[in-house]
Amino acid sequence: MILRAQAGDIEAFMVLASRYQQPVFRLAYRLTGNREDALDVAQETMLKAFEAIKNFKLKSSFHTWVHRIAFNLTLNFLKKNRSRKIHQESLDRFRNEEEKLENFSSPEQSSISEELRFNLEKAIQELPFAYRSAFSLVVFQGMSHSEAGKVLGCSGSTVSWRMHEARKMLKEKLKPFLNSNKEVRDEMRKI
Amino acid sequence: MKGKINVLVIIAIFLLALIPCFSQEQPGSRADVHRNIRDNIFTLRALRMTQTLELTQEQTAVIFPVLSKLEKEKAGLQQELGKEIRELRSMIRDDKTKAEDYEKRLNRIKEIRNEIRLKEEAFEKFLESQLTPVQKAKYVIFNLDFNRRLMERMNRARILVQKNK
Amino acid sequence: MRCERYNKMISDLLDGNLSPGQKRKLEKHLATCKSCQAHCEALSLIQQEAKALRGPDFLPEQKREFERRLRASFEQSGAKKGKTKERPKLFLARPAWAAGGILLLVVILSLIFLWDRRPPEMQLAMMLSYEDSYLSLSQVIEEDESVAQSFNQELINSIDLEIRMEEELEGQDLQDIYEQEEAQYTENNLLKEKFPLKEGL
Repeated sequence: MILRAQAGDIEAFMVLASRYQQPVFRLAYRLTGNREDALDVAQETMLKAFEAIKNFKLKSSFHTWVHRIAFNLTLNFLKKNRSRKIHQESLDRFRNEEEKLENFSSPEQSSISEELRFNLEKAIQELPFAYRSAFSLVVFQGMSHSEAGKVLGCSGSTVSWRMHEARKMLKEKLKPFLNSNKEVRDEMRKI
Repeated sequence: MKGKINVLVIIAIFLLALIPCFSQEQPGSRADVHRNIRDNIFTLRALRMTQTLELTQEQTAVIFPVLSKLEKEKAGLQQELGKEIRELRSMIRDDKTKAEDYEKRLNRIKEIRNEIRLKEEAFEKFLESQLTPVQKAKYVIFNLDFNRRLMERMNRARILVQKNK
Repeated sequence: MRCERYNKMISDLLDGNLSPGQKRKLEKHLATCKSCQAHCEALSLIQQEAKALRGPDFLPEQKREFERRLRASFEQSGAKKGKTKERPKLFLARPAWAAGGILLLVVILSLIFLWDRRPPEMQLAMMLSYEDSYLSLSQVIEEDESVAQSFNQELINSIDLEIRMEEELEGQDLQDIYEQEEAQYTENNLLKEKFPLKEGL
């Protein structure tokens, strides 16, 4: 499919684009916090990828390559727009959607988890950009540290430290919700 | 990256999913002991393979996620295979077993073994693409030596237990 | 090793980025340190909840619109659709080249199908499969629980020995390495949001 796209076959590229548009959109959304901006970045990513695909070396990972384009374009976008209306939309979306919390058998636990998730979403959006990028790539996109490093233009060790710092920050912000979650789970175990 | 020691260079990016914490082992559970044995053999094999093949940091970063994923899949299949073979043994001991029951069980055993073999083949094909010619040669010898030592180790353990009885 | 180091190892563990030796060290530490156990539980919960945050999906109309705009952009940029028309012309114009190409293709394909691509050394490795050895081993272990436990203990001792040998060979304590990394990390000001602009690739 990549070879055909490299030869200029639009249909082949559309297949690749449909495979990657969702993950790229989600990454851009995590970094910009805004659906419209994320859509623009995602589209620009695919266009750029199409223009540059002839230079793509087959022995590299297409997945990492596309994400690198997306990340660089998001950086450029944020620098130009300095968009700070970031957090509210993602939080509103969370509040409005009816989340199915399948694993919870009690109202107490489901509302505590909802509270935890809401605040987790907020805490992630409030992470400094370096840590939010690393966290998004590793946890949401499922990349290894070395893959994420290739996207971010740093080493795997740097990503490792950023993840460590990001988690420390998240744990600190979520302390009250983690404690109440633990108490409820301990109670549930006694039943 | 230069300057990193081997312990860090051996970045086994184990995607042992959802293994967050390690609680104290529950002693005595048979399944636990067997699972631990499998895990420990895997760990030892990974350590030895890294050293023997002199894998670089980049290689381990690419190879070990695949190795881990396959290991999880194969461990499940081996467990199933062990169960089928136990059943086969008791079928042989039981005079009343019908021919078609044997057939059924043997076919299932063949299926599982085939699945395991396919996974091993897939891994070796992948490994081929990642190793230099020298490393490929070392891998063959490593495999032979490791399997032989595994059986020697097992015999030693058996002798030790008989001595203590 | 201070707990801060182990906390970082917990983070690496959650991402599958821990070597077997480090994992063993961490396991040993967690067995005795309640504070690190609690930290591990907290991070695991965060990891679990974070993975459940899927993030937004394209709405169906957004997806359609996205694809329409993408396709329009591609067509505007003058990209070719499907196969080019030039190739057949070139092909027909040079029958000698075409014949030569077909012959070469036939030769290559026969070589591929008649010759097992797998190098002989890898075939040998396949024959003496690790899984077959493990199967024999597991049958013995099944019979006698004490053999299993003794065998497992030997494995654990070997793993510990391997790790100690690695550390001795390098002649450097893990502690030093972590301290070096941390100093470099702080120096590089990763706490500040400064990134060089990277235009395109």
